[in-house]
Amino acid sequence: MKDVRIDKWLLVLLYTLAFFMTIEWLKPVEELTDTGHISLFYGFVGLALLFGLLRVPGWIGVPIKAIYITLSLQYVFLEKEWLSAEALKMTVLDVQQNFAFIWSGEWMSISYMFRTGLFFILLWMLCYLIRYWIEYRKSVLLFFGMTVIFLSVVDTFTSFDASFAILRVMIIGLLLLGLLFPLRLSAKTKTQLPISSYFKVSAPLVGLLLFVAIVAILVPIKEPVWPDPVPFIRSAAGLGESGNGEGVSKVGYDPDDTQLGGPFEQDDSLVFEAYVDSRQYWKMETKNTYTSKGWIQSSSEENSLLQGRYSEQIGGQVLVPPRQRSDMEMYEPLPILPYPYGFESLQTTEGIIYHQEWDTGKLILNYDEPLDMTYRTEFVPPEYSLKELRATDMASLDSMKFEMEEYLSLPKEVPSRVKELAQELTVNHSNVYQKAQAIERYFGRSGFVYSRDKVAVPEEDEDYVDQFLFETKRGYCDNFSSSMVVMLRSVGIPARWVKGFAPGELKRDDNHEKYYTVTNNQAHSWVEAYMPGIGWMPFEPTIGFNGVSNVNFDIEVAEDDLKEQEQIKRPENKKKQEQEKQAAKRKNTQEPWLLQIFPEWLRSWTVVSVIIGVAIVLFGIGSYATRKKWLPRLAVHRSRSKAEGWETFAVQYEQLLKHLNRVGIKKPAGMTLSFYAKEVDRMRGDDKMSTLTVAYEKGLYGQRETNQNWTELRKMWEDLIIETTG
Amino acid sequence: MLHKEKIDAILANIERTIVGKRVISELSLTALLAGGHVLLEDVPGVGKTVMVKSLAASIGAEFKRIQFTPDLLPSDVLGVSIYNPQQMEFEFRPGPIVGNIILADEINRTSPKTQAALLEGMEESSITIDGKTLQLPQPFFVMATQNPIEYEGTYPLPEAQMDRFLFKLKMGYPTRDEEIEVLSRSESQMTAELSTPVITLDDLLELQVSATKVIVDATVKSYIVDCATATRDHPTVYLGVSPRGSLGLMKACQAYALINGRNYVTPDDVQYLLPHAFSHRIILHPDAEYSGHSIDNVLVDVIAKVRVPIMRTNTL
Repeated sequence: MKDVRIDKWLLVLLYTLAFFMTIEWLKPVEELTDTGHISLFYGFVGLALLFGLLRVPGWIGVPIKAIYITLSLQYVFLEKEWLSAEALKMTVLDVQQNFAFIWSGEWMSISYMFRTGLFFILLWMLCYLIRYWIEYRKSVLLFFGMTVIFLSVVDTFTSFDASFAILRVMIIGLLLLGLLFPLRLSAKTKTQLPISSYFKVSAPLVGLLLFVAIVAILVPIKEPVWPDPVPFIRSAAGLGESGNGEGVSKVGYDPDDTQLGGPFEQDDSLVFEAYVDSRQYWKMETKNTYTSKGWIQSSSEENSLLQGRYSEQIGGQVLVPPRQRSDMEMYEPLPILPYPYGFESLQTTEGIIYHQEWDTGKLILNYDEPLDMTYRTEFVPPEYSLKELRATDMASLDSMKFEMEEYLSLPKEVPSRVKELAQELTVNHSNVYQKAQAIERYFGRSGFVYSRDKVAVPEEDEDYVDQFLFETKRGYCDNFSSSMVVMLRSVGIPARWVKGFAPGELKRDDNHEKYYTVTNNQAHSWVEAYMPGIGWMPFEPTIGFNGVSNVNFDIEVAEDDLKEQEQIKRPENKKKQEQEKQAAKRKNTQEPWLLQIFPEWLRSWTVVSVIIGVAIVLFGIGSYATRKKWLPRLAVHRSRSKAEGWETFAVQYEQLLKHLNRVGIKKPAGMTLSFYAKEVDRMRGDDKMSTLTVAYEKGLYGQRETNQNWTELRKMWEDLIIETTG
Repeated sequence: MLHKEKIDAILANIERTIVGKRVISELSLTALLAGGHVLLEDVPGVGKTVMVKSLAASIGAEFKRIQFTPDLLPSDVLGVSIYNPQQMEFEFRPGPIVGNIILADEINRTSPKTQAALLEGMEESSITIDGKTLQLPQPFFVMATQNPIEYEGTYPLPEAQMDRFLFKLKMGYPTRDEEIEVLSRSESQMTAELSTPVITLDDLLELQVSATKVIVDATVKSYIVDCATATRDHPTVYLGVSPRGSLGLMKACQAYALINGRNYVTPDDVQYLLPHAFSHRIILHPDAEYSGHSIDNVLVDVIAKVRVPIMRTNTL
């Protein structure tokens, strides 16, 4: 194939197209992960492709690329020491360390710098592949197909909007395919296609493509006919976070929870939009009394203390970290306002008076306000120290029995088996946090089904929780959360039922700012349990939902150290902290692994094993597809070590038959070997196959005739099998 | 002389007297070596008699010819006992069937009774007259002919009788060059009668024994049976090939392998001989015949469909 040259300007064009296609892979990485300095990657891809184009020999190209990678890594991660001997030293040290980590399987310890380096190497390999696809295979179908699949998956499951990316990729990919086809044809027939006639051949294709692309952009696009399958896939994969609700018929916030259960209608009308940096559960109120059918708030006088407040003006004041803010835009009137955990204050454009109920947490406006109001909350996302959580013991709850009475009481109707189940789940755990966790996790692994329809309503003599736990095992958030509260209370842990909205769907506005849209479908309920010494902590028992409790895994760090570290860390290195938070968040939320490609993807054993599994499968498929290339050589190699004789020869001949069949010389069932051999020889222009066949037939039909010149036959067989491999 | 040389000598000798017809000579010799008989179906005057005569002459065998006519009686074929007044007893005068190589010309012109007399002798290699059984000389080879054109006043052979022939062959017209050669040869007076034996009858009997010792591998046997079964299962076939047909094919293959200098039978042999050995043993459904199917098509179909054994089996 090498004897047919590709015109160099054409090659430049092909490489440029391939470059843009590769860029489409990097764009989602930039947007979906916290990858900064994406232009460094663009530059690297460009450099690698340019080197391939210019045929830069390896002894120049490899060192230059290596230097590029090193310098980029140092630039990004060692800003201060950039271009110094110190940086080089640190890089070397880092590489050494990380190899040790890899060797010992400590994936978590691998540094960001090393991961970035690996990512560079991945891109490097991709560029080699692209060169191979373009210049040798002369087909980019595989690359094209993978790009389209990648983009559609990213578009479907993440906030990345690939509508234009897909269009670009389709145009680039079809162009590449079309431009490469004449090249492949000319390589196959070994005829040099003059560049002028090449462009004549390709011109209609390019014209047609451009026309189709323009039409595709201009014509109106119909709404999809099929319902969006994503929510189904996500809930099936345990990733669901879209909507949930309560009430009997219509999903959404409903202050009345006295009768829970039953199916409800979907309603995806927008309730509010929240501009906030991270996912937040939007709390609205808690309820304390379980009635065996639903929830009510029974307030004793001393508990319903009101906390009157006056909202501050929205101003440009600087937030002191770790304070965060959320800007809420309401689209539907709610009697009480949703707010994130760690709520501190409320800000509006014009001052309003509001109060927060002490026991239910309700944020109530004192006067009727316009429906489409906008407000801002400031909050400090609560962080729970694992060390402290583990120190929570049941004994300290005993002393609070009286004050926590309302959060411990259960109606008489709750059957004893609920309590027995809770006991069984928690008996092996010593501290309150672990007990709560045990109950929280119980639902995920015990055959419970998340469903919003066909959910039972308890009969007169039935208990809502008992029915769900033991009879139906099918329900939505209310079932899960109520059950968890009841079970917690039955083992003596104070718990209450929380209503509000799930975090919503991540979107980006025109300025590329993150915001979450929350619809009625996202109405949700969850659990708060009281951790002695810490306070109320949210739990998320509903399967398919991911909680947001930010647990700090500080267990191995001495408490004093921790405080010190925090004081140093926080003001100095906000970015690092952000990354940590992201990491912790990902750990908790189990987002699709595609999101985590970079740089956390090495963290999880599951991901690693999935990658290895996929690699093995791909390798298997690849080996199978190319077996006609390597099987004969393997056979030749193996047969050399075997003793000469009929048995060996028969095996060889049978391999040859299979091989010829694979390379496309098929033998019809009714065709005899000698006839087939003549066909093969006619195609090849010699008589090797016939000679071999006569020898084989002698053995096969003449019952193991043995005196033949095996050495010569083997030689002939080797020639034939290798020559037909092509 | 080796088997192969003897056989080549016979074939070469036949070719000296008859132009072309190598295939028919070879097949006839195959049938002779396999101990079977041949039914030649062709128009008169294409050299049937010359071919058989020169075959007989080549092996030094006694050649007899019976011209079948409607009034021919069984005794005309088998022979009669005639009272000898001098010896005061009946004396057996053997008929033309007592010979090595018999040409039974236009066998379908005679009555079934007479046909049966011949066919019985073919099958048993012996004849029974007046309660006495007479072994026919060995080798015993009958080449019967019938004219496919004139059916008027004929007695077509019943299927059971057809089954006794190993092959049914068609001679066909010679090519243009061959026919010119035939004309040229007639001038040189080279006739079948003049050809001399190249082997003895004992040699031929030895060859017949050798043919039975040619190896037929189990895979090939099963291939033959598969083919026979396929004719029985074929949708257009009313009557398929009998086990006698399979056996005959196998024997023929052995003889053919011997002729080709091999001591084992290959599927090629089977495929080559199968149409000759099977075509007269199959009856198509009348419907199939009307819709354009022919026995030849069916056999081509069978050969194409039955899987040729090409791999070793672990049973051996």
